[in-house]
Amino acid sequence: MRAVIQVKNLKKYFPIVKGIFKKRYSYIRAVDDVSFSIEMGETFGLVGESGSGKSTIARLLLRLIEPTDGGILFKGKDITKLNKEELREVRKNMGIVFQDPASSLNPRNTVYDTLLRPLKLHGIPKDEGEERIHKIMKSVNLGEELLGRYPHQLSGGQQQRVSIARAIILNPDFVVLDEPTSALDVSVQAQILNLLLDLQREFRLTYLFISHDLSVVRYISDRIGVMYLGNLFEIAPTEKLYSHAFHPYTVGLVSSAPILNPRLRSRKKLLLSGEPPSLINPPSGCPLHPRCPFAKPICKEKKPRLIEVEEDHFVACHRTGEIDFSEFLRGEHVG
Amino acid sequence: MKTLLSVKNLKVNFYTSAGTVKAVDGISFEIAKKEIFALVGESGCGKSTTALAIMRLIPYPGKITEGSIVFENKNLLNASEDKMAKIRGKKISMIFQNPLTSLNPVYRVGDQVAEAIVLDNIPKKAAWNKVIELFKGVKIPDAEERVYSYPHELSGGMRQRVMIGMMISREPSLIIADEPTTALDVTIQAQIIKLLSELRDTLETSILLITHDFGVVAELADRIAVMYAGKIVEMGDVYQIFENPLHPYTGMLIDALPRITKREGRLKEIPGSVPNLVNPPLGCRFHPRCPLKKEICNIKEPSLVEIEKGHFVACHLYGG
Amino acid sequence: MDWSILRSGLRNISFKLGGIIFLSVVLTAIFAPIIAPYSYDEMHISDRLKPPSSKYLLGTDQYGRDIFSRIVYGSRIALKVGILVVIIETAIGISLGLLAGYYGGKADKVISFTTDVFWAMPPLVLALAVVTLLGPGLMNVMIAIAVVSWAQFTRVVRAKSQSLKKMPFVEAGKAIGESDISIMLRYILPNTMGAIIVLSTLALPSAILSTTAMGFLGLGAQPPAPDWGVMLSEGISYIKTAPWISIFPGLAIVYTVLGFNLLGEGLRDILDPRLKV
Repeated sequence: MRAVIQVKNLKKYFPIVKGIFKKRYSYIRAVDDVSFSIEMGETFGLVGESGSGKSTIARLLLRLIEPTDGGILFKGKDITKLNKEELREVRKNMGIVFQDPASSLNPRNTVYDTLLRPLKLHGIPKDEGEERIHKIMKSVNLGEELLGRYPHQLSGGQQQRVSIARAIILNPDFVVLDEPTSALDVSVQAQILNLLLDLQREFRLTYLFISHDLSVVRYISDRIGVMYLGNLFEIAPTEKLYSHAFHPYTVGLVSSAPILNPRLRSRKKLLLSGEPPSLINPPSGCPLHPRCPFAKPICKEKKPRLIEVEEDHFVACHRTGEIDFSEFLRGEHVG
Repeated sequence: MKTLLSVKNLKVNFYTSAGTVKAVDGISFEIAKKEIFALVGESGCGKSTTALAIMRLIPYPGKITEGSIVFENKNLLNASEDKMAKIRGKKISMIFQNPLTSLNPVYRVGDQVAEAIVLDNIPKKAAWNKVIELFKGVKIPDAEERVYSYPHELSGGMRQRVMIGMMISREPSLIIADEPTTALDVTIQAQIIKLLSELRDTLETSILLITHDFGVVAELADRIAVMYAGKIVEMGDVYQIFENPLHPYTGMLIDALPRITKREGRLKEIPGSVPNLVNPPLGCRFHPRCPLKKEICNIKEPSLVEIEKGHFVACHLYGG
Repeated sequence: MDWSILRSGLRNISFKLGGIIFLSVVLTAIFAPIIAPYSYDEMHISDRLKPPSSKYLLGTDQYGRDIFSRIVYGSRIALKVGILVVIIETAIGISLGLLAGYYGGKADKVISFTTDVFWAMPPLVLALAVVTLLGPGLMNVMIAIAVVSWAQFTRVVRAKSQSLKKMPFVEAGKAIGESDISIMLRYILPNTMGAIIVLSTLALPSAILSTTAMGFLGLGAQPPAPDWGVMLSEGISYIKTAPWISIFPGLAIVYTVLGFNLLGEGLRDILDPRLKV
């Protein structure tokens, strides 16, 4: 299986400037040395809480923001080194869908205008463009009568479908989905998730699916990466992550996530103390150590590297394998 | 079990230029003492409007047109505005969804909470000490220093705790929590859920939980009422609703929630969309989307019927 | 365009009143030759300094010219000049605002600094300075006034650009391959239109007032052009003997400027809740 995306030691630091003379005061380490790859045709889920850096990664992959360091290989080519022209070409092959459906569409454009734009930009001739637009409306289950409508005349679910249609109308290989269902009602969310699965099959797409919602990510992903404060803590195939996670943070997330079975309410949860610290002065060594109930002296001194501990299962923790988490992972997820 | 709040046949209309929106159309439920009661539903179902009706804070152009809200043996809908002002914050408190916008950015959080306490004629110094105690009670670390912070200096979870502290400062009998965990991270959400549950035990308050999040409901609620398009379609204790959902909407909604992987099966979708509340469908409001609908569903509105003890459903499948 | 805006417009008093006044001035300007009984420079030597009568509706001035006709033709100057000035202002102001807001960084620093400097100067004094530099012609006066008033557009457009560029639909535009110029013109500019329309509608009366002030000072339109400001100043020496020479042009100015201001404010009230983006 070929890797569509390969991220190598990616870093994004945002400088914080202060004073009239704009002296560089410090950095927000939004993404702090992250590496992973996404295989062709798979859905790679990226989970994390606010400040984890997952949304920054989404934007870095499309070069909507420039990395501070590291490489991003798209089908073997490093897109961080491309010039404007080459980048434009590559953009044909990538799409992105954002969280808030209402602000993802230009309020001044009709649905038709929005879908026409990418076609025009990349030189698709008029009749072929028309055909593509009609076809894509069908694929995302939107009636043609909606083509003349403005975003404010559509429901949240419909707006999001337009966003998705725009992202795939040029037949890309890779689509980044940044919290695509977080702003939607439960019933609409189900429709959109199923639509994404259908589209993936129909257009042979590879997805990066970003979310803070563990159950949504579990449903749609093949493999999942867990982020915290700009770092990747664990990568594993979906089921393994929920039943046999190695990282305390993953276990904390999985066990705290609400379960739809009230009888398991009093289950043992690994609750992390305190709150995520500031991104400006991250803790030394492993960023989780101030909150981790299993922290040892080495966790404060040295940052753990992401190592493959089992097949396709990567963990960044000094104490991998030393702790038995089974009492926390006994929820509905297992068996 | 003594009843704290009894809502009977509540109706709230919004008179807009597009027409009269029947946001809440005749709902009845009861909250017992020390009970956590959840009002669940998707956006537009009327759950937030119900909460505002209890507080008599319905904004223009809305009006409570019918029904009664009996709290501690008094009908709140007959109370004067003065009386209501005394009840709000003291006997019934409300926690809102976004703690950032609910706190005044230019005052220290300690001052804001103290402001509420002094209303009970507690002297300034004693009130300040109470604030510190409260902050400790809601597990805010370094409480003595935190009282001097401004809202923007605190994280989302911290702000929510301050809000909760403020809301319990005058020891209310009923706390209304409108989407208290929606804007928060998963790990913080778990902490807040734990906090609310503990508060119910220690303070012996009841909690009316308003949310669209079934997960939070499963973790926290004792009893649940499921709302759809301004009506209660099903009501029961949390085990009954999750293990034996009777109304098609409840069942489909729970099935639409992801809890498994795609390999194990697809999420069930609910076809169609939420109806227009200016012209709701005739008969049962859910019937256009219901796979089990019958002739009668288009004609007559079903009423709530008790199927097993404490478990009510409004559906013609059960003789509603 | 949203026709419901017109509907709510008709409920707003300022808009209605302002609209009527606006229309009356525009129609007067368009149909001036039909409305005015005489030409604006026609002198009737024997009827100099005559008070209002049935022959000369608003009286005559010191050259025997019919004041009414001059006021009617004067509306053309007022409108033409006002509109041109606003066009120049908005062109400068919007372009600079877009560049500053979208690019940020050094471009923003330079543009913002310049804008603040111009914003801080007293407008008429600055206009006088510019005219002194360039000379007294009408074109130069228009440039001078445009130069002192673009700042308000830049500030608003810059602020809107800064917030709009962070919106997902702008990011989506970049993601599909739009160039910077395209983003500024297709994504950001159309979504600032509400604010711009309101500002330009209010800038028009301001421009008219400024140009008539300039005319009053002897700059801008030169005699025999029936510029209302010029008429005002010419009538000052006769204020005791033939006050109508100054009063009526003065009233015309008040009427027009007040009316356009009402229109602008009414428009703002209507558009404001819709300025949601």
